[in-house]
Amino acid sequence: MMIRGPGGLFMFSMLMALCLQFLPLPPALSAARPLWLVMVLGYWALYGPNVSVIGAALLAGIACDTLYDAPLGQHVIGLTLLVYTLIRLRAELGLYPLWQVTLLLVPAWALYAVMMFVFDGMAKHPSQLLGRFLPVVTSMLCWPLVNLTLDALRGKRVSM
Amino acid sequence: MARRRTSSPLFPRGPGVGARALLVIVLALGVWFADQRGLPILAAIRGSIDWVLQPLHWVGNMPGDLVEAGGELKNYRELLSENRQLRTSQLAAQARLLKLDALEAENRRIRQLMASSSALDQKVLIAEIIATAQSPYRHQITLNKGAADGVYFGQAIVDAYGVMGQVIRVNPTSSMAILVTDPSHGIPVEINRTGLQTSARGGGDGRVLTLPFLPGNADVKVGDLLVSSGLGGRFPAGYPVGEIFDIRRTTGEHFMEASAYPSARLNQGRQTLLVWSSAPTAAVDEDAAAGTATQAAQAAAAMAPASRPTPSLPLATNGTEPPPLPPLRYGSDIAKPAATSASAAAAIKPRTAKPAKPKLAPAPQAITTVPPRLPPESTSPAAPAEPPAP
Repeated sequence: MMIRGPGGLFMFSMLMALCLQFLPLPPALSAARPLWLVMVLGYWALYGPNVSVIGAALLAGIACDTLYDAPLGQHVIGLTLLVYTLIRLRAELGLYPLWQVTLLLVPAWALYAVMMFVFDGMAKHPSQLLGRFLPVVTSMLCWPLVNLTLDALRGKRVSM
Repeated sequence: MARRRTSSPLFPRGPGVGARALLVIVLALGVWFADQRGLPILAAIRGSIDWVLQPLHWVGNMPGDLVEAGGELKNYRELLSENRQLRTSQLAAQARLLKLDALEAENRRIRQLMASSSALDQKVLIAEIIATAQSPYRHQITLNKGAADGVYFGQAIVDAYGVMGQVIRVNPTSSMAILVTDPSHGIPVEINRTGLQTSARGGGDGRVLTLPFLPGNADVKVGDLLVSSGLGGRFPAGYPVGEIFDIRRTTGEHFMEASAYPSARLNQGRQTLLVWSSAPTAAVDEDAAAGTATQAAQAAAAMAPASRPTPSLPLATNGTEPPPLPPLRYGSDIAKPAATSASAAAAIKPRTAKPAKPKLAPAPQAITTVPPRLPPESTSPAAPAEPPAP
């Protein structure tokens, strides 16, 4: 099943991730919201066809900055760095099975969380580091789901 | 051989990826620093981006709207009881409103006597909350009114129960506000019972306000009502802000700390009220002795017009005696605040308690619909033939 080719699916998945990222949730759940945008961007950076993931990271970052009311550029930097790292690593990471990729992605997400924390600190906005790490844990739990769903939507053979 | 990019789509590590990422990061860093310095054009850009992203708000709100639509299918009995409840509360509110009419007129006269030039009626605008804090440590909401409606930076927002927060960003058709519980939010307050001026900060966990720097010998009790003091001119004076529930004295410290629950129901309801606060009044503290009295009068004055669109605000209490806060309990407590406000008027200027009576006279039909909760000295000229209280 394909939604007008891989490019269409790419845009569709990004839109879905944006919606999930900004779906209003109760505060208790909102603290544990997985990093949907980071995961979807990471998927396309790791396994995607030749689409401009950097450009998508730029747009998604701008949307995040606007909607979180962060200083413009904060999420752009974080997402772009993460996507760039994953593009660099795609030749290596592509060889590993899914669960190992999941474990290997956790440090990357944690790095992203620390980066956002540091930027918050530089912008003098108080936030808790611990609250930044909860999404990393939930992202780890959700990553296989995202990965397999997108694989299935692309029509790729699912291999555990 | 054309083995360039098209031949190996599995590994599209063209030479451009690193350069592009670097370009984006350098650009973003530049914009970030510019935004930290507050470049005005970036605010405009952000506004237009927010306008483009409006559909995301709609989509994000769709589940909530659906749940709400489902919740509207209540059963008949529930609606009936709600209707009855609303009817009684409306009667009670109307009784208060009558009282407030009189008080407002009286206050205007006192104000004219004092030659102070504070505006009584504040301009307000109802705004709908279209998005709420997506991130747990920023308590912010997005409103559906923006610069096109005259919303300005720093504007106070209130709900029916108290101060909610202030606007921090104005976009063309929407605006963003932080709530009083946001850790970066502070509001000048006074303790309604004593008139003590202090400031309340957001506690950061979404439920409490903290009053960090209270003098060690300050007269503060659990249950004290905090009202906005209007100092600084950003918030209108006299709106309830919170109620103290905890006071901590640390031995050896000069300051004590208090915690309060916000009066506004921050996580309930979808409507807020944008308030155009007038410039800070100049008539405060001519002399220290009359200071608390004028402030109390001011608080009462600000409360009276404010409760016109939101009739369930607690009635203004005076600064001279400590009345227990009558929060939103109709029916049995109506006579009490009316009595205290009458005594407040008497405390400020004894002879002005008299002119309140003829003000009630022009609306006899409204009074007769109300269960007789009014204090006896004011009902006697207006409606002498009323039955006793049920």
